[in-house]
Amino acid sequence: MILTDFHIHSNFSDGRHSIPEIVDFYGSRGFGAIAITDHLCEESTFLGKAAAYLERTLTPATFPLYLEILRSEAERARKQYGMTVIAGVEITKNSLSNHRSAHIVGLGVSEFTRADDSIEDILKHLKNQGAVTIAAHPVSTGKLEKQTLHLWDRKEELAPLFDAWEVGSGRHFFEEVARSGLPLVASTDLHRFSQMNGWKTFVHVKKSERKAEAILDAIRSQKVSFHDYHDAIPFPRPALDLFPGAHGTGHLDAVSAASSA
Amino acid sequence: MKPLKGADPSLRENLESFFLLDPVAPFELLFSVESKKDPAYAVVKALIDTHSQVEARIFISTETADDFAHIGMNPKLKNLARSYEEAKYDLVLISDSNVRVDLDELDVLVSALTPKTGLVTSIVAGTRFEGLGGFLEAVFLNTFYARFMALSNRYAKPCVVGKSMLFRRSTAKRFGGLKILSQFLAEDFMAGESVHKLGLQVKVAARPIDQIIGRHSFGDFWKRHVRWGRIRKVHAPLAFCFEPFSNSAVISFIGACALHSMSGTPIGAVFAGSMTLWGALDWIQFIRLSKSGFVRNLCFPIGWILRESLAIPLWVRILSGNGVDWRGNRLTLARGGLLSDTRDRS
Repeated sequence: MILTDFHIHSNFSDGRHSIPEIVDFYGSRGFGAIAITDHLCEESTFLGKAAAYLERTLTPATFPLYLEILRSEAERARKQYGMTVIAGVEITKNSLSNHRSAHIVGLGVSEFTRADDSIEDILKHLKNQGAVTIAAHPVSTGKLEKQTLHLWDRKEELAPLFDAWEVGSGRHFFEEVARSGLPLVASTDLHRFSQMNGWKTFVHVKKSERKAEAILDAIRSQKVSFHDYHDAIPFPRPALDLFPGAHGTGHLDAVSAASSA
Repeated sequence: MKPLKGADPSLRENLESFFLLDPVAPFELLFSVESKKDPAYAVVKALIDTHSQVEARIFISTETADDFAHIGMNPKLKNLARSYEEAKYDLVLISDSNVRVDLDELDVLVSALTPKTGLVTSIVAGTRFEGLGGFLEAVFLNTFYARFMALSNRYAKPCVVGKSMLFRRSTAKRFGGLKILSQFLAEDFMAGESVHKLGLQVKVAARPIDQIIGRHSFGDFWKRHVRWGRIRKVHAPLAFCFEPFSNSAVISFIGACALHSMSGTPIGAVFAGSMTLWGALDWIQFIRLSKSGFVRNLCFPIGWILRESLAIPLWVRILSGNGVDWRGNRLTLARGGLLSDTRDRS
């Protein structure tokens, strides 16, 4: 059984840290596998173009560099930490309407996928690469922030095309998704290290079989369980801490729900 | 590593300065030309014979082009691919043919390397210029470009100039090396970007390097800056949009109008004062970087006014297309700086 995080952003999109920094961060905490899943936004929409201008998305120009760095860091992570690093993307279809917005995580990608295509074509393209497809934060977090509800609105129609739906995203646990009977996964959606605490997935593979393919197969066959993770290693905090004692006490909380599968 | 194409009158002296470098550590000089017919070949051959105590080799890139089919369209890196592969040492300095160095240049560059440094570059000082184009080039390099590069590296994105790039091949391997960089015309910009993505720093060497400008026509100047501008446009479109606001006249006029509306100060006086101050600071920078004689320094205000006047027309020209000329090659830049076909679609 290995501890994993399958939804992490780096400085290739809107994450704060570089891929090597992320590898060291997770590797030093004993994680067995992680996936870097930077945003890949539409090229034709206003919001997608804005993301490209602000360098908050992967593009056809940066994607080969992204894959190369992931390849070399995967090798280093395996040697240095025994950790598997999976190349992923978060296909990002943003709209002013929450019900027209959808984020799709693809794990194990090797080609650039056009985010402008229809959701069905995107999922088909990801599957053709052998990637695992995950519906990211599909229901409301209940907070005043951008929501991505389109996939959940069409869940009956799209369910056969997804390998898993996010039941936990950071500190949010989606009861509605947990009760749905759909295949599940939980990840951090990490943009900076201070967001580390929250829901993670244990993947039930032997430590000796922690190759990317075996891990992706385990997600497909739902050999997973979920845990609310509290970081045991202190990460740099602001010099002025206005709320002392508000942070986790530093232990791996293994109390939580098993997969519905 | 010196990628070469053609031979201008200063080539021999420029290259010889590398043979005379103080060896802070064992080093070799690797020259690349496309064919033996290239005039640079004979120049290098003669220098290798003269300085037989220095370890130096010359590579003909077209002879082994098939072995480097994975290298993209970037002509400079195509030329360089074999010598890059055959280099003996991990630490490499890629330096253009029109760069001339001081004896202690390696020491200056290497001393900027720290464990967190991925690449060391240098601010370029334009020297020994001739002709109107050469003069404008010197004014441009020693004012706007030097300032832009220093500020960008200090406060914004890494800005690397291909005239001088020192890095470890083992670092470059982590981001795909020449295979990745050669997909872009601005391999220098992408090298900085790639190093930044690895979480490493780009450092600017403590001393500028000299670029021997030589004789240039106005047309040469215009074409070169259209090329540089189009590279900036595709790589950093947002910053390019705001470039006119870095022009002295534009920003002085806006400032003068703002002051007038707030306190009634006369627009003309504030504008003239701001331009004079700006020009004086650029003049000091020009004198320090260009190492010119008294008369040429005295001509600076004319060149400065001309260059500042050309900034907006140049920006408009840059905006109007994505085609670039690079040493006789016609190339087209796609979004993000990728090289596409050889026809200008603009």
